[in-house]
Amino acid sequence: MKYSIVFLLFLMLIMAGCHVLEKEPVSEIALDQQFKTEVDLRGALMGAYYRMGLETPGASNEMPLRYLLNGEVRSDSYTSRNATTREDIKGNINNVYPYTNWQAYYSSIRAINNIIFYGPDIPAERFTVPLEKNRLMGEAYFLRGFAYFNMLRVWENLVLSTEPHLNAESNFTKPQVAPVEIIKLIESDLLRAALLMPVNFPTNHRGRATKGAAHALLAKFYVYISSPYAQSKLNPGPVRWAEAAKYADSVIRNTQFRLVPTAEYATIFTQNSTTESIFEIVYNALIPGSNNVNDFVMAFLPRKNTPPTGGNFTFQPSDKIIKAYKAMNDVVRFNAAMGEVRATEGWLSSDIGRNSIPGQTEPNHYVKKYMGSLQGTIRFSDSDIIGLRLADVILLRAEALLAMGDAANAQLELNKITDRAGITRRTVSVREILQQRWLELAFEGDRWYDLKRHQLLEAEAGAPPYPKGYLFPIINGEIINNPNVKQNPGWE
Amino acid sequence: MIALLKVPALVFLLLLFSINSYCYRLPDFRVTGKITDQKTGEPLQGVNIVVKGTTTGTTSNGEGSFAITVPNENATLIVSYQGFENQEIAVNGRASITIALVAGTRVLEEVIVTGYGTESKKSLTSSIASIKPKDLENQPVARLDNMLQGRAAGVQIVQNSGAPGTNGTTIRIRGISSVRAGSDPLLIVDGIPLNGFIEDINPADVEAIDVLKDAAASAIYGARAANGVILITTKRGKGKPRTTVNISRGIQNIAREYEMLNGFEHWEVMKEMYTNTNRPFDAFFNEIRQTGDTASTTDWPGLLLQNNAPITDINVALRGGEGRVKYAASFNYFDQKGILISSGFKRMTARLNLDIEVSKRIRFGNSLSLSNTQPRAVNTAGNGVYMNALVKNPLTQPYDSLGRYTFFEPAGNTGNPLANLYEERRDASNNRVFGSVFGEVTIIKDLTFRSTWGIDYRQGRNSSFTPSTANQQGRTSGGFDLSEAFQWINTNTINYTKQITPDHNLAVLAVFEQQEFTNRGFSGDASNFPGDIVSTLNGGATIVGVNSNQSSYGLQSLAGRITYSFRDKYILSGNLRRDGSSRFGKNNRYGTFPSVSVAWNISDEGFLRDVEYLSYLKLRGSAGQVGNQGGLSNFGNRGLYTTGADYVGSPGTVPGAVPNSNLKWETTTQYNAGLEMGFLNERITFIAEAYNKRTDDLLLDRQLAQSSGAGTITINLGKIENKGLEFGLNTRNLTGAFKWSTNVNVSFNRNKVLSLYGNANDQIFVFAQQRVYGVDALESTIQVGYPLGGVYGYISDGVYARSEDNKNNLTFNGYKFAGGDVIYRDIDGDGKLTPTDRTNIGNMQPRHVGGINNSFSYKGVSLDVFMNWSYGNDIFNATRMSLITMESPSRNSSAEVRNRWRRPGDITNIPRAATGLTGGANSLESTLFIEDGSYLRVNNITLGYQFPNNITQRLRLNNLKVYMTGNNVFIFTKYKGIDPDVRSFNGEGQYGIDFGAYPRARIFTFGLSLDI
Repeated sequence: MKYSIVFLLFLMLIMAGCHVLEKEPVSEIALDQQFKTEVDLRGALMGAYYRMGLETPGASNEMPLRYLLNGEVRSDSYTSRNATTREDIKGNINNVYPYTNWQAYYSSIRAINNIIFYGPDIPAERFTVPLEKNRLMGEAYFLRGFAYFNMLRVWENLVLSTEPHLNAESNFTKPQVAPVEIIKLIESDLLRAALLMPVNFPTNHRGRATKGAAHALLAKFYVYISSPYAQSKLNPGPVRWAEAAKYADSVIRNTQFRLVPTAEYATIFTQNSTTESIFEIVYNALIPGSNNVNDFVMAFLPRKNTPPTGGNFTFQPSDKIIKAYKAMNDVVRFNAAMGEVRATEGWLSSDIGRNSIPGQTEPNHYVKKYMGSLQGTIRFSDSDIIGLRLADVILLRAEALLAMGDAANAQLELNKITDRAGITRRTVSVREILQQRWLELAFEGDRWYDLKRHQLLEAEAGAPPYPKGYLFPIINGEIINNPNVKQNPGWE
Repeated sequence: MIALLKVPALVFLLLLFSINSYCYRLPDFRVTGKITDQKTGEPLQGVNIVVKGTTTGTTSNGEGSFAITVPNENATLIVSYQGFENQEIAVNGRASITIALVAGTRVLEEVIVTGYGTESKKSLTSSIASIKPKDLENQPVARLDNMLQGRAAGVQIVQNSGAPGTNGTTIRIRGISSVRAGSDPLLIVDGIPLNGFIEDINPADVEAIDVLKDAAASAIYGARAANGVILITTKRGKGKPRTTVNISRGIQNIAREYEMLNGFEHWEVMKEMYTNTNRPFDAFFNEIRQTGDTASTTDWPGLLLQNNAPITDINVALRGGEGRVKYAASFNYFDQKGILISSGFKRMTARLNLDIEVSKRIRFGNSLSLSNTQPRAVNTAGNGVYMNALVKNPLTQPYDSLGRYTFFEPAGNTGNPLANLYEERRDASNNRVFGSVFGEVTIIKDLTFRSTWGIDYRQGRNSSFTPSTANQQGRTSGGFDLSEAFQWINTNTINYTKQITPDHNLAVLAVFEQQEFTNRGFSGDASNFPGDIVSTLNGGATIVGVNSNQSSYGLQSLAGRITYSFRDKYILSGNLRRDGSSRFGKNNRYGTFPSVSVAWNISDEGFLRDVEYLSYLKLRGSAGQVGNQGGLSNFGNRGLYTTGADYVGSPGTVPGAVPNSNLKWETTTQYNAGLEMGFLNERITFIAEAYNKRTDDLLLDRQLAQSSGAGTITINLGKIENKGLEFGLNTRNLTGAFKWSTNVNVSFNRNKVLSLYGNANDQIFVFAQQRVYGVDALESTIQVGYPLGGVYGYISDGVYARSEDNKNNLTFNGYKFAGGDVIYRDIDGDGKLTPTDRTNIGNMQPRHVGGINNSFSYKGVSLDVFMNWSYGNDIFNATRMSLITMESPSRNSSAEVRNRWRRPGDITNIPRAATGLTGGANSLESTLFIEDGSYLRVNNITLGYQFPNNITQRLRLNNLKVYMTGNNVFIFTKYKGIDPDVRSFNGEGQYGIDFGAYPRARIFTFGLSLDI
């Protein structure tokens, strides 16, 4: 009887002290727990890199091809065997074309904004090396500057998002700001990144941003805002050629970065993370997990009867760029950038020869900079996106020096590039620098930006009506979900 | 008899016997008797007979006879029967007694189980549907919920497919009240919430099922009650120990199937596909023509079928308790082979329920169920094996000349469904411990305290292995999943019942309850095995992935109820529950859910006392609020970082949905009015109910602007409404020696989405399927002003007889529709068929559902015929869409396409065969594939024979019955698919889509039940 009562009391009391409402996630991390230590901060930063390179085939937040295509697909570098894609390339781009979607950029920016908001509050003693905090924060600022700089060049009229969304009351429908506001943010982010990040790479690949990357991007940024297009359209303030030259010079003097010798030129693309590389988004199929590959092989390689080693041949080099290499007898860079679709390589017969593309005179070629890696008989699409490399910076410095009137030193910089390419030296001029940029950086996502900033799109790339063609449209879904966003001029 | 007992259960049975004789002294005086209705003289079955002052009891059999042992010759029997007045009979040394019961005019003592208590039918103020155990008997069905179909008004049940055991069943109580927070009711078994998987329960253990429908009934379950609550009570011991054995065995065969084209006809269709679109029908296909002819037609879907698939159900139970210990022990073995080869379901359960009276004031007890289920599921939805077999080219052979599976198919559909079913090894096993212990003490008179501690632990294992023989490439792969769901609950209740004066009665209930739920999972996948022998992951040279995860949530609740009644005539009841959930945002940690209800037993009023024919009349009404927290993820309100966002091998985390600390439950406000009537001493009873339910603060995932970078946010917004009427009529039509009774129930529910994000034209699309077998992404829609879950598509008006009939030159992506193509309606009139021409083309919610049961009996013979129906709902038949659109040579077609368009001028509803049409112009989601899903099914016919007393007594049995049951005997429907009771995609908002569903079986069983 007595024992029965005790039993009953136990039944009642056994869980009375339980705090069943106080639960913590085990397989995820609550936002309020995410930023406590160095490891947390690094994890969030890796997540930001992950998003910057995230491949989700066919999805609207597909990222890797966007780097290459936003900056080049509407220039004179590409054509396609597919008539619809050709229309897109020519500029008949409509609002649903996936590369008009900025979601992937903003989703990366959100991950970065959280780091920039919470990171500074992590106490210094939570870091093994105090400077590590600076490095990680610096990388976050760099990535944000990098993302906004790309977006500025593509859409120009952007929503300025720098704050995290912490609750349902957060403003999710901000209006766009004047481009100069974005320019200010990019400049301050990159300057801060340059200040915080050390010179050395923390890894044996060049997939992490360093001081060199910040300086290189600053040079590219200052050249962009000093260019005729930006000066006439964006109100960025006075020209900044001197800063551009200064930061480019700092990269050039940095002994970590050396041009790859002529004989090994192709290794820039086949090996990746070469001495010339300043910042890459790294893919590696040998690392388990699904996010270590991209879709470049599908986009660029011709088709094969055995699918695992071939692609879809969606984008191919244009007649014009093939002829441009040939005109300059530019064999080394040509062979690294593209190859003719030949039967001996086993490509599908219908991709060999000439497409029925109006006016095409050259045989079909394919882009060779993103061949991925062969593991046994299977080809994995894991070539890196080369975000910044030394040849780019050298040409940027040449351009800045020339603009400042220092043609002699500009010529010296240009010579570095033509000498390495193994072609005869060329007299420096803006047009010559642009031509060298095209052939040096072909299919790396620069040509359209270069033509745009010199207001040469109409003349060189032809196609869509301008000035509408100077901007990409904003995807319809954004305009539906955010009534405060206005379509870019001409695309309404 | 002896032969029948030669079953595996015999051992168990003997064991039970030995317990039985060891523990209890057998009394010595035996009384037999017969109980009849005083008015009609007919025997009464199921009358309770209890020896006064003891718990010894029995019930009368079909002939009204009973036999009971009493302690001595002077014992008194208490005889009670629903609808009749109780009698106390002194034995006075008689060995045989005849008792005539008088029908009671005011006795409605049927016990209804309510939340945390019980109530008599008469004093009930809320809407509760009780399903009688008889309805659950003799049904050869694995799942308890499938047995409820058509049995209770207000409960709509859809069997998602015919797959045995794990088919998933859609239960909707009074409509669909949520968009994404889940619309399944809360299931409670003996006071413990059942964490899914109702197939783990042995239906034969169930004593009663009570469905709490209105807010007054369900508010005591607070934040989880908005979809209604189903209370399942298992059988407990009482009276003389009795061993019940029930064995049934049956066969199953496919009930309906598609008639498909034979090989030659398919070849003709293939040829037309090419010639109709001016494409060369190349040598490749002519070659097949040579290798195959009509004689070599392979009936692929037929090859998948298992004829006379066996189904076995064995139940053995010992229940009793005349002293201080009452016990109910039972064992169940259920084995159902599927009608598709290599599928099936197996279950073993053991149950022990105890009630122990320590003293007059203290009681203890438990409910404990141990179960093991082994589902053998095959993938049938969409791209599953059955669909693959339907469309498989009949000119191809399943095996090559060496007896190996063929994977060759010139047109591309290379899978071999036989290889899938025979070769792929799947082994799943789920173990569950579900039970509770309780203690109860009467502190002072009228005041009882009870504490219950319950556990639901379910561990599931799923191993799979694909050997090299199962696919063309000779690849091997294996997987191993473990899942563990653990839940504990501690419920403490105080009950106070006080008769203040004979007229005024008061009952008070207070509840304090805590619960915690934890899920853990592990999964591993590997490939590249050294052969087909080792199927465990140690054999895999390549680890594809390893993953484990854990998540938990808790609930802490206070609840109370006060019921006051005046002379049992006016009854007033109020409920209040306050739920705290770890899932709620920190600004809304606790939710409060109130309800009030009143009942008026009008027939107790003086002015009705003399109305002879009216035996019962009651009006009741209720109002209240209940919640739904199902759509909340465990930690979603805090904004989660998720792992796996690794960069070059460095671990990374990324932010998910935006935190929302205001997140809370959905609130459903429900009003209910009920009318209950009984005529002619309850010979006719009628019940009518009307309700209006509105759910506010719907949990929705709002798509945010892309420039916010945030994807979606879960918010409380949106409203949905369900209004309905329910009717039930029970009649005892004939009450003589030949008895006939009828039960009918029908439910009407109207569902409407009132608002979503705040705009009049808001619409949420739910996608079902990527393009497979010619069925494109099916879109269901949740649209303001419409019932939830309609299908969105084009309106089609037949097939163009001639190309000239396309007078408006309608085009689709530049293709101009020609003769033999589907006529689509150009709603916006722009001459082009574009997505804006789509509209809501189907209402998947029925106008009414119901069931009708007729029971006949004459002496020992009984016949039960149960039918159920669904009326007025549409079905999108995606299976048929795949089988009649003839756009790909890799798919066979159903015999319906014999009426296809072949030459200009043909008037038909079946389009022409055409491959390579722009965008599959003839197979767009359209009304062409919307069908009327109404049906009336003869669901269950049971013919039973109860052996008379003289035989059973000679066999020393208390009861002996044999029966034959037919399940899914016949269906009346215009539906062209296999079965209209179908739901192939069961995401929120997806109703009434049939795509390759597992076909339904027709089942015949023979059974025997005996009481010892």
